[in-house]
Amino acid sequence: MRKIGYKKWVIPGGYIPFATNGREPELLSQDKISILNLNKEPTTIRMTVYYQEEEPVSGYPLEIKGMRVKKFRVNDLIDPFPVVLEKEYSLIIEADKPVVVQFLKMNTGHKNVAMLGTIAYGTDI
Amino acid sequence: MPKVWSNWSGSLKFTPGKLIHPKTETELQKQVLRALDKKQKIRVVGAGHSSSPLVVTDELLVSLENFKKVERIDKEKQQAWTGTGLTVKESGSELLEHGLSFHNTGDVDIQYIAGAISTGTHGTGTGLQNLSSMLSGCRMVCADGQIKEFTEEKDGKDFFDAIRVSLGTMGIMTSMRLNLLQAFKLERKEWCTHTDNCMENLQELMDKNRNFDFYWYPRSDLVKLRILNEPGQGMQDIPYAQLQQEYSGWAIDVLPKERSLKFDEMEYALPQEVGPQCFLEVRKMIKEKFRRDVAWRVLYRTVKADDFYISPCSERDTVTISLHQNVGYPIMDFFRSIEPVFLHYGGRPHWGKKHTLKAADISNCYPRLNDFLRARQKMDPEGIFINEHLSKQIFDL
Repeated sequence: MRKIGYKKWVIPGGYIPFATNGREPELLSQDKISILNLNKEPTTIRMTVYYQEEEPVSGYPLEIKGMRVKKFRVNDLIDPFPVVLEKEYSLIIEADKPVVVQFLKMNTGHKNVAMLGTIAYGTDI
Repeated sequence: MPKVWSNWSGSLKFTPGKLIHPKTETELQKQVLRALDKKQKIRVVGAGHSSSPLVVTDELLVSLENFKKVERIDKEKQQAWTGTGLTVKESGSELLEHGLSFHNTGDVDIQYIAGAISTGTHGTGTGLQNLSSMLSGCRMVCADGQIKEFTEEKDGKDFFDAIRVSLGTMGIMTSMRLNLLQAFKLERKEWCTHTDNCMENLQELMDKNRNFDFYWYPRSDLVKLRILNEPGQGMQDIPYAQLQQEYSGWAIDVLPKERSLKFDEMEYALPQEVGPQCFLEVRKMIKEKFRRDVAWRVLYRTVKADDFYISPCSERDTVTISLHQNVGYPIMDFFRSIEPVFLHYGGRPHWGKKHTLKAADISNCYPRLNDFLRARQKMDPEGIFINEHLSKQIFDL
């Protein structure tokens, strides 16, 4: 049976506002990623963050157990370096097994809370 | 050709005139006598975990990496002599084989135990003094090149109040007699909750647990409560927090944690009663001004007061607050901006971490600094065990 998902996912439109309103972390302005691992075995992922002007930053290792989902805020990534707030970035997620990735954004810096969820672009290339 | 020496984080680099690794006390003594002849200054380097310029020298740098013996173990008195080239992990593990234990460790165990003691390094716990409090005897190659042994019962409390935290400026210690405890086990539990819950219950968390500290995460306003107790003791449940991790074992295995990501750190020791206000002010500043780039946690710990002349915990029960940032980030802008808040609340810098204080500020922070300098002067009248950073920036000699 064909496995569900892809090994590489691209999120071109990352941006975490600095401004935020309300109790944290629930109402924190944030980019959030959900990764579903439908394999029986754990999968290890690594990420690369691209900026408009600076060199890419690679690392951010994470393990996701088999048949489990992991959700994390991009805001919280620190290894090897925090993702800078209020700066356009793109993200590539590479897994050693096929996974499914969803990308969520919340901006509470404005009067009305704005939320957006989207499936990232998956590829095995 | 002398090589560039770098500390653990890479934020401190210099080229010593000569780096030596003596294998025996006699060999070290010969090197010291030779340096005395040449009127060279000498500094001693440990594991290099410190990021302040305590060891920087373009003259003679001594590594004690070959001084690794644990000997003269007295289980009845719960004392042992440990070589000054042992890390906290190495010495703690060997002591455990003899049924003995440190009362506490810092958050990591890769430092040399001698470096940790000499800089007033500490763990957490309102009833627990810093690691320097364990020192009750030492063998040293002194400023006249002689090897001498000192003990608290022979040489007195005043001498030991000076030498316990002395930044390696009173002689080169080759072995230290430590006051220890019978080996004991600890249960470690780590809980996640909101900062507000932690601050509302802070006193109870400090009072009811052997070791308690918390990490504050600037980009989520969550905290990790880290609690260690002897089995069955302390707070077993925390209704306002979620248990994230739990394990137990011998104290030396459970107190420190492994760190793979390198960082630099600024830490200040404050009177315990102002700790919460100071923390809340630091938190506000980081949220308003710095978390665009800063995502590393802030660590809040407690230490029991001691009598040691230049210990950051001297004569007051203490809270320590530490800022961390990834290596590679321009850390000093961040640290320099927060430092005045620490000073406003009566903070004293950790000797082994980043700070920008000059001698006049140091003198204000440490009321017994002159007592220390008098004791140091007796031991090292020619000033061979101090470098430029110590003589100009710290002691104003």
